[in-house]
Amino acid sequence: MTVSLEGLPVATDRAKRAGERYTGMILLAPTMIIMTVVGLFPLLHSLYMSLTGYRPSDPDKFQGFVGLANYADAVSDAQFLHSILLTLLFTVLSVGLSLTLAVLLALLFNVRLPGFTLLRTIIIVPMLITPIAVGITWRIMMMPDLGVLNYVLSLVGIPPQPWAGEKASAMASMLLVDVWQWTPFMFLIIFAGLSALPKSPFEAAAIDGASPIQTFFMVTLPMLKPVIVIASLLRIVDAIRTYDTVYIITRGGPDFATDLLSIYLARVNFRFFSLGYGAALSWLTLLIILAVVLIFVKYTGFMRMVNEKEAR
Amino acid sequence: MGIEVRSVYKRFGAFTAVNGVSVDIKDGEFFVMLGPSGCGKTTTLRMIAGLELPSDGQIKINGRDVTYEEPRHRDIAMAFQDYGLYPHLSVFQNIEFPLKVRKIAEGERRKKVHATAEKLGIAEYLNRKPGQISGGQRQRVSLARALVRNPRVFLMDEPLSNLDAKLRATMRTEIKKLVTSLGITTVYVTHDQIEAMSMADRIAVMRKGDMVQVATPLEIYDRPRTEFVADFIGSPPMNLFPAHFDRKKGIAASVQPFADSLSGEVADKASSFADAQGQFFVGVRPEHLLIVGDGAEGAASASVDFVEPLGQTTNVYVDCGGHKFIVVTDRTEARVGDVVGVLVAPGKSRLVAPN
Repeated sequence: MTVSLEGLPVATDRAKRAGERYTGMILLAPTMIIMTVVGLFPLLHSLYMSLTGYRPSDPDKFQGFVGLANYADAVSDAQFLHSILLTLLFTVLSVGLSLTLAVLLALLFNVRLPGFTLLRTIIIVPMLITPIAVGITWRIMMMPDLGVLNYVLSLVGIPPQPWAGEKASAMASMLLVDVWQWTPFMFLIIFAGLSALPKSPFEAAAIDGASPIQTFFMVTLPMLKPVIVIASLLRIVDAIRTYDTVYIITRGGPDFATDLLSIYLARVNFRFFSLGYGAALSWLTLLIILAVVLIFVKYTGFMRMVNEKEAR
Repeated sequence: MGIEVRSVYKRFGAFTAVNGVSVDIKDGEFFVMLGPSGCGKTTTLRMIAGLELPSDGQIKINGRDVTYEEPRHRDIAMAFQDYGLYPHLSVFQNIEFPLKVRKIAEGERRKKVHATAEKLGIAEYLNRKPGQISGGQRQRVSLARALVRNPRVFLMDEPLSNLDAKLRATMRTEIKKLVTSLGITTVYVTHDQIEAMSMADRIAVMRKGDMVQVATPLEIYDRPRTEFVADFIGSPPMNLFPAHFDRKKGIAASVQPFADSLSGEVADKASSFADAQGQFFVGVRPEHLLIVGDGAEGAASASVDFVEPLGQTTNVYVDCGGHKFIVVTDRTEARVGDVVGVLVAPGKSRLVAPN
């Protein structure tokens, strides 16, 4: 009698694969459970909260389920809209400035002169400092009468500036601090990207007759684009959420001149304890970040770059 | 006119990459620099291109001193080993690049790009990115980009070494035909002796920063000047027999019959090949050795170590008193262990200088 073995290997193969999947699921389970508890649950809970009038500080006035009322309030909340515009302005300027500076620095350091390694390490330092410490340091440096900034200005004959103390210059001062702290981060990524670029296209450009400026705009910048896009994306998300330094230096003032989204959010949540309304604002902020990122991704052709890379 | 290289040195710290190279490359010549890696051939090419500055010496292109001139002012084109294409630009834009940076009008650019792409058979890939075409096509694009603006001088740095053997062979003939028909002075760097032999008008064999010999391919093959050239060119390489020259006693060689086979005229030059101690080599190409019966007149007696039939030819490894060498012959009756006579074809033994 002959036994047909046809199909047998396939069957065992399938059984084995099912077994593997089962093992995989067991191994992943602890992480999945923790992620659900600490990630997904608070997220969903905050979504629920945003639909209530929850105010722990004021139990008498506790309102139950209010539907979309919080969201409706938010849309007509002038303070909120002011914060959104301020935050977008802050983000565009901060990311734009630090990107420009970082690219220039990366180009400079790419020349590789002696001593640049040490200098490069020093340049990285600001991003390593805790934002709170950065805020305190700059606040002291920006003090109108005692701060070192005005002292330095006085040395070159410039009158003392109010820095964060006046509405007109507060935002610029916050940008200065943010750019100072985060340019190193951009620099690091872009410098690494620049160092990793193949050499021969640049040599080809030199021989093809391109001037240094033509080479920068026609070869360097386009080849760096993927790195620039990723660095900017990370910075954009971070800049929209800026909190610590600004809170330490101005607490959103003077006269709401630096009242960024996260600062307004913190005030609503933890000063007014309007946790329901605060949750709604948080969700709107998330939507704003998503919208900005999506627009950015679409405009820069980021997904196309990723796909091209994968196709290769 | 062409390219004049005058005692050019390149030092990297204590290391000398190019050690006082001087050579005249004629207008329209196909000049190949050949040597193993680290011999200074690419560094020499890059100094001609202006991608490296010489530590000393002078380089002239078409009569103009360009030693310290920027690459873009030298009117040269170059093809790189890894092609050096702009990955973010399409094939069309890659070829167009040298014209665009020179601010040539768009209509003319388009015309030239299409004509050049047509000539190199890449017209159908103009809209693709370099990442979407094969290695051979990429090399064609890099050639097209180099040729699109009719340069006076074309520099090529191992352009075929990233291609597979079959493609290499076809590209070899294509490149040679193309640049010859355009009459462009070409300097071509390679470590592949077949590329050098088949393409060059003249070959410069380089070793440790020196140009050891500059001559036509056949001259290099027939009369290698030094031990290194003899060993580097030809496969299997030339058989070298250590020899000694003494004004009184004449020539003594490890296999004396081969020294005796030198014609009197050649033997007279031995002193100019020998070093201070009188050492030099008698060199014979494996295909210029004949296997004859043992004891034949003028033949060296040798035992057969190994026989390697290759079809068209047969490599016979023989041992003559401890000196092992190779004979390339047609099919042979010789078997391992046989004792045979080995004879040099008339006039085919050469003098070769030690390194």
